[in-house]
Amino acid sequence: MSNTRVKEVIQINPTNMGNGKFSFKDGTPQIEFDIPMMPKYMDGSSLRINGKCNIKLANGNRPSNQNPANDATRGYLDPRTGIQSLFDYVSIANQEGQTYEMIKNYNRMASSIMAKSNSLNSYLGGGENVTSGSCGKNLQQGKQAQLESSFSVKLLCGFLGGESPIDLHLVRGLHIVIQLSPDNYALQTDFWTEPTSNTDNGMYYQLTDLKLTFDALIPTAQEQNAMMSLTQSEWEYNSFSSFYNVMTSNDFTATMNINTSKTIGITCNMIPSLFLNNYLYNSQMCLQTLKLDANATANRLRVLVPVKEITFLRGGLRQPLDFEIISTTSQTEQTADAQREWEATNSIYEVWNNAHFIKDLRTQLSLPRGVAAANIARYQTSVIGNDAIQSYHFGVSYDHLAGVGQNFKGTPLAIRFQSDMTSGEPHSIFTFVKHKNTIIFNNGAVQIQN
Amino acid sequence: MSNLQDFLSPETFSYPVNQRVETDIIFPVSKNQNAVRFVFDQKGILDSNSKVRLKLLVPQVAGAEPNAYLPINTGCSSLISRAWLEIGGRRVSTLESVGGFNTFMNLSYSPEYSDGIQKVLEGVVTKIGGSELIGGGVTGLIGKTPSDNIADPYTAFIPQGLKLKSTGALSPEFSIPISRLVPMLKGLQLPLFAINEEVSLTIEFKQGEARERFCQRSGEATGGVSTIDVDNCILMADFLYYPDDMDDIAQKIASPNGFSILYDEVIVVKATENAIRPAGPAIGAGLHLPTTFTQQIALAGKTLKSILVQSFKVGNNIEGNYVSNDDNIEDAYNFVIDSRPYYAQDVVNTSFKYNEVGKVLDRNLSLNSSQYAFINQVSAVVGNAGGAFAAALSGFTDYTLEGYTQKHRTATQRWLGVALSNRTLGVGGKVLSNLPILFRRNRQIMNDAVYPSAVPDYQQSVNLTFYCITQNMLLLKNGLATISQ
Repeated sequence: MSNTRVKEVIQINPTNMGNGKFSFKDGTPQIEFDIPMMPKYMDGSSLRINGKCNIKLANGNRPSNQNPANDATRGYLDPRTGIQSLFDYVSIANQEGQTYEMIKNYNRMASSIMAKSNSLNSYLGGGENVTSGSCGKNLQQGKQAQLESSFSVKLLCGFLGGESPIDLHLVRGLHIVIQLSPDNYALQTDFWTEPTSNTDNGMYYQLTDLKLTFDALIPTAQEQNAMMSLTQSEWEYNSFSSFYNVMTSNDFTATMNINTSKTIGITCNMIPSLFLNNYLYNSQMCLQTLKLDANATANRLRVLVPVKEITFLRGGLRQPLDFEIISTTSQTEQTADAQREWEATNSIYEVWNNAHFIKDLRTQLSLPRGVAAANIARYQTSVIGNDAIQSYHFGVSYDHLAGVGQNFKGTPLAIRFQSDMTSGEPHSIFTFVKHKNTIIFNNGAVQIQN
Repeated sequence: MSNLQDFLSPETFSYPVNQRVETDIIFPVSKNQNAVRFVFDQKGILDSNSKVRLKLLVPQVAGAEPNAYLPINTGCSSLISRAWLEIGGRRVSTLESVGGFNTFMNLSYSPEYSDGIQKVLEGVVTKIGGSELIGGGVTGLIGKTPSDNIADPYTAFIPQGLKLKSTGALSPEFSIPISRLVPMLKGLQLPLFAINEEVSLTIEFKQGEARERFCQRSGEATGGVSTIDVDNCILMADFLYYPDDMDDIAQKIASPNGFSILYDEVIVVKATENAIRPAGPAIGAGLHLPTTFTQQIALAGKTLKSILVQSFKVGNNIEGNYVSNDDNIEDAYNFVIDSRPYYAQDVVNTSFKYNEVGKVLDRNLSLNSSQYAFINQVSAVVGNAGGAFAAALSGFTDYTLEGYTQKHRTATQRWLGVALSNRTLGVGGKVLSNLPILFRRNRQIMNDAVYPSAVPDYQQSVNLTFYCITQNMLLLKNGLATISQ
């Protein structure tokens, strides 16, 4: 053991390596990594899942997305989340089975978080397409899907995102499980914007060469001895919990018993339920309420249904905002939905510190929904045509200043969503709660308080 | 009591202080086409964001103003060969290969920062946008649109305001912070008032014309030798004063034991990889055989924070010679430090390489995958075949920039790196033993013409430049400055 502190990069292969392919086809749809209990500190924010991704059509050939005249062999990932859209469920536990964080619908959460921390420039020119495999724009994402691509993606979990290093001995090692998304969730054709696009029902993806990496600190010999003799301690970390609701009416209230004592904020996104697990649509899109477009070549949900008001309630009282977020005028006039946008952006990150995010382009810029017309300069970083996909989120922050959060123990959270929806088309609402947990370590026993 | 470190760090104060700023225009004490030298007054605290003004004059071509421009990722750093800071006649901090190192720095800024600030101040034009061929063909490509030409969307040009001209009145002026010329000043506001010796900054200009100092529009003849407008080369220096705290700061610096400050220094090491034709059975076009290269980096006794690796094969007319070329097939590398491999398994995954090199600056690079590497643009390798890159596969559009296809930018910024420091973990680096560091790279030597050099790998040497960021200590005592490592 050394007398000086040294940084090292730890590389770990999946525990359930199998044939090396992780997929629903010819592979295993679950990835497990085991990080042993050792007297070292982990930089959680440096943890990456590295590997390669291949996308294939049902016949085993690669999709061909770069020829605009060819609608028969389209297939690619969501351009705004890329590889993150492949992770359906993420669990972080210790080596003894105690769960620290479990996020269902992780991919949907990523679609909100990434939209709040990336601009379209940072996807194409800022490195997101190297690390997350997300190009931001449909056309570029389609091109990337034609060949094997590499990725080195971070997990957007609260547990790993804290500022202080993680004592791997104190937390008793880590066991990370990632359940992959179904193929028909992760992959899409262009049917939504171009009804002549293929309706391939057998596309699939495969991940290979997987490796988990992170930076670790090897403490001095004395520090390692102290770490190993530490039997009692407390550690506070952030965590995300997820909830799912289906909205079917124009005045809908989702009531959830989130049961967290230090709730920092909630963020929500939604999508027509029809779009989920459907090759014809991008299941990762974050859209507002939609209805059928009767004038379209094929009947598709494409017409915006105006949203009127969103209200956040705690135990039946309007908290933290004592007013409704009203969108009636802005939605009618197709102008900026600024109040909702501000609150939603502020729900996870401090909005005053956030320089990169995707604005709700469809609503704010009132862009045409169809494919790009001739003579429109698509070679810019402009967002038009099929890249002008709405990024609609709603949510609220409970505490960015003190970091103490709001107590929801025994007090339900309710979100009232009023719109002009008349068709009764079901829409899925995904709610993600960011809260603080406390781990109490006592003589080898681990207790988690939320 | 004030914290001295807060006043000498270029970070934002976490508490309110009274501050006064004096801006002086400092003219060089000596100037010629090789170098300029500035001497600072002994006053205040030197703000490391003080800027040097630079202007390049490119002669007319056949009586017309030229269409010359700075290498797009490098900007006005291409005009400087090296720079150093002297205290009392001793060189305390030097940056060799200013253009190469600052090219990497420029690629770590966000696209918005580059487009809004770097372009205006330093002539850096790195922003990339989505692109396609209008009217059919290939979609999903990327390209850069410095000035969109709506009338002819297949061509793009550097904005006229950034074009280099023949006279001081016409040519644009650029400015570069002294912290980007002298690594020491990156994390330090130099307390000039407490240093009794002469403090000076010397800037040595880059020699060479096209692809070195500037690039030129396709087909345009050269009009002669370019010149630095040294008459207009000035240093705009900001001197900081803290009226309520200056006595306290002076007292602390003048303590009997002196005051020490840690700062970064960049040591540049160069090496060459010369591949030989792979032995064994005759191999055909597109085939490849693995070859291992090992380079030594001697940094005995230094506290090493990180190493940045630039691999140069061939430059181009858009980025100049400030490129770091990738191989057609993914290479694998490792650093052997004190006889131990730093990585348990050699680094192969391109995206992981990208993340690792981002740690050198503690922030991610801002690059598109098509700029960084050939992966996503080449076919998979099966056995010892495959991986040959064809320009048609490039993620870049064939739209031209100043007459050159933008495909020239494919995989030209593939920087590698390793960081032995980590701010979150509180590790400042590693003290090295007398053993040299080994950089071991396993390459796939192609037996076919490779892009962009158009010759086989065994006929193309690779010039490696290692930028080794080490930690030094400056001791200020009795008005004298001492450097220790």
